[in-house]
Amino acid sequence: MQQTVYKYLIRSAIAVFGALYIGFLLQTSFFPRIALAGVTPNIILIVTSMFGFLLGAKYGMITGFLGGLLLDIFCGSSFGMYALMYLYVGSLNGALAKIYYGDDIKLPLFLIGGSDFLLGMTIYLSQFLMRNRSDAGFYITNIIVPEMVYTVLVAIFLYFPLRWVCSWVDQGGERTNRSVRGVRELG
Amino acid sequence: MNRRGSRTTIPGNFILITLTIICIVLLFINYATGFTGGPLVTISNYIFVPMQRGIDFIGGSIASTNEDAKTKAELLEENAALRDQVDELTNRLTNTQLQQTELDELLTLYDLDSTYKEYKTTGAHVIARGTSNWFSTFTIDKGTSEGIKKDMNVIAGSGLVGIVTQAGRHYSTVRTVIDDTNNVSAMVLDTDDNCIISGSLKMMTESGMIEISSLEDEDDVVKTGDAIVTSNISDKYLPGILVGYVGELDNDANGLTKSGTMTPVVDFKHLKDVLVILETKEISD
Repeated sequence: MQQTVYKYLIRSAIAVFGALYIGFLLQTSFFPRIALAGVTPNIILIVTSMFGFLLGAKYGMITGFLGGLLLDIFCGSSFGMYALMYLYVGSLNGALAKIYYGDDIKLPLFLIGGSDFLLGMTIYLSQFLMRNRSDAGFYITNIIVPEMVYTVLVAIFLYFPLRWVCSWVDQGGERTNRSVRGVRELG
Repeated sequence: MNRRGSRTTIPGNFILITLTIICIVLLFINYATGFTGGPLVTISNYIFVPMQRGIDFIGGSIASTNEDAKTKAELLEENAALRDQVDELTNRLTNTQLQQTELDELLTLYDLDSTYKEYKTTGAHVIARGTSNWFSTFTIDKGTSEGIKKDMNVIAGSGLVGIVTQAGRHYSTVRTVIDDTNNVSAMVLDTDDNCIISGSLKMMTESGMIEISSLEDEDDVVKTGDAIVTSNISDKYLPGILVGYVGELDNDANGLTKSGTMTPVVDFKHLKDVLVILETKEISD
């Protein structure tokens, strides 16, 4: 009994750290080389969002917090800001997990897109509007929406690997072959 | 279900509230003390930087393989053009050296030779880009162990790129002059008129330019194309580094100052190697 719990914890830790590690490298070193319309996709957000609604709110929160912290370390200003934002992205996606059934890819993509838009707006409101950059329309059409579209596009390719990771973490649990309602009962 | 019950004893809301408090405390500490990660920076230095370096190397070699695909005729043509250029530059260099000697003598007479001395630099590769589309920052592969410190200026070619905002052991984060939150105190090279250069995400996206403001040009002589260099009254930027060229200027509503646009000299989209100036501006408190 105790042993299964440890195994589960170790698997979770590997999944969360592994996904963030690869995601972060993709986001900072790989995708900038193939930026479209001057924007790069937000991989950390995809990981946070997917873990949130496939594995539950707690996963979303922890993944989001750690992922955000990572971005904070490397961006070098307002330490803790991204951690806070991504924490709530994870939590929100976890809360929406209860309406997610099985294998449909549309809802996860919709959630990732929605989360990215929300995050973009939050960054705009908290860091740009505060400094009197008032042209919201410009930032939405030139930064927020292109980033959202690109992120969703990349999410289509990352969906299946990440889903596999989630089922690996959860192997033997009720969530293999499930309607994923079980998630709510975990938390 | 029992197995699960035993491992999920901490309620979700508790985690959320705890982590929220941690974030707010971190933000507060950052605001109060300028803390940006401490030991976390050291850890990330060892787990991320080697991989980023690797990816950068692979990406770089793929890019250079593409460049190899030039025809012989193209290369010969380029070679001829370059030879001409070498001749021309050699000539110019000789002239400049003569002038330099003269200048040095004159400067010694005026005791000014320490004002615009040549800066000692170290080269570094850009190994990772910023973490979001909102801010223009990047990571380079040298850090404190190579002598890099916070607030050192970063240049590429002859132009100002930005400033080191954080230095890990083997990596540093650089904020560029085009970053929306960045301000540089600068001056017009010819007239010594002071102004402020601010990065602007909007102008950069629209036209590849950044903002000039508070330019004191009483005699109305600053014109399009004038060089802008870092000012000697700046508290973080060393004096005399080229930032860019004046674009358009308009009078401000106050009638005393001007503001407008300028084009940075550095190509920020294709930045691969930069030079870090190994000295920080000393300011008396």
